[in-house]
Amino acid sequence: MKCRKCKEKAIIKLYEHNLPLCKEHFLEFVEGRVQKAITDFGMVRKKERVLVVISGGKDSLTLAFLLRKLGYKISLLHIDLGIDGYSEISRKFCEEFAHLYQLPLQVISIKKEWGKGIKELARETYKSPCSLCGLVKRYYFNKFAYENGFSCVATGHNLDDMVSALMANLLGWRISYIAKQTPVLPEEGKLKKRIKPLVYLTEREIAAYAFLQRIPFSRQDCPYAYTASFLKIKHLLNQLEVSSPGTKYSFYLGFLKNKQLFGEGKVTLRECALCGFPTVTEICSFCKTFRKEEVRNYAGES
Amino acid sequence: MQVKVNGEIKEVKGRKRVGEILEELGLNREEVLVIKNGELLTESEWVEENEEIEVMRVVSGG
Repeated sequence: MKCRKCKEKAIIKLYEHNLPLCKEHFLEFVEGRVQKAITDFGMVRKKERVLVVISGGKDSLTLAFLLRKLGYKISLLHIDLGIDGYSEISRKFCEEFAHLYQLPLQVISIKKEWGKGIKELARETYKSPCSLCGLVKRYYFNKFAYENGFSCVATGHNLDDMVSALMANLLGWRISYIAKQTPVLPEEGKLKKRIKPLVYLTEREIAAYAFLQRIPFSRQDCPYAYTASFLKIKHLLNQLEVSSPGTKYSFYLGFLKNKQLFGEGKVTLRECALCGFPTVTEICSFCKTFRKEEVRNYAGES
Repeated sequence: MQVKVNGEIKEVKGRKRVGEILEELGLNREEVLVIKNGELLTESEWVEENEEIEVMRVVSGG
């Protein structure tokens, strides 16, 4: 198989575009897709400071690599979830990456903040580890970005993440969540803008890019990943993708074109009575989960 | 040939194309990369009986 652009030997075929590419043109393709997403959705300008949230996995590290390569001003944030046998390895990859590419890295350790890891906290708060993990990450990366003057937070969500979340929310008709599956969530008060520059790339493309650029990333699966329904939906969508290449891409572009059908996804935000960060209720989910005593005291006072 | 899938070695008989190997192992081409001697292979590439390849899963969950 030959590269469509230069007729050299192809190293990958992008079925959704019916496009075989050599290494050089594939790297160029990936970089172009990220720049296109940033431009198409007005994500960020080169003079702004971007906080990239990294987990140690291929997507977030590749995102940081690409943003750096494309000339954006980035800093890294890693949230150490305190999952024994997993988080130590994830953190090590983040620290190695920051060192290798000379990027500033901050680490927030959940064990240091709360005395225990996500697994124990999930048990105590009667939440699933996945929903608690999401809550903790969203709270801390937004707080860190707000307090440290970043213009936005970039996450490594890719096309597969977006379409599987979209499909899962469609299956459950969670309208307000469907409306939020956009590549940019705008800034609102203390809620910093969130951007997803990998939205035009599949996991396979990102993994291939990371492999070709020799980006060291953790290949371990989160021990709780098997509980995530998104994973099952990802497999189903990938089966459809093989029989009909381009399904994921057109599904997502179709959503972007028709997203007004699901409303603006806008809710009225106010500041949490305890921490001051944005919430739809009087006290935010983070405080309700982690500051139970303060919540009780507040309820007693008011 | 020997096929390493996430650290586990699997035996596949005969000279085959990458796409056929993935099919035989029940792997979806959208969810893997296939590597031989540090290079990526497309699904149309041939793998000889005496060669070794690695299949890297690319789907992350959670």
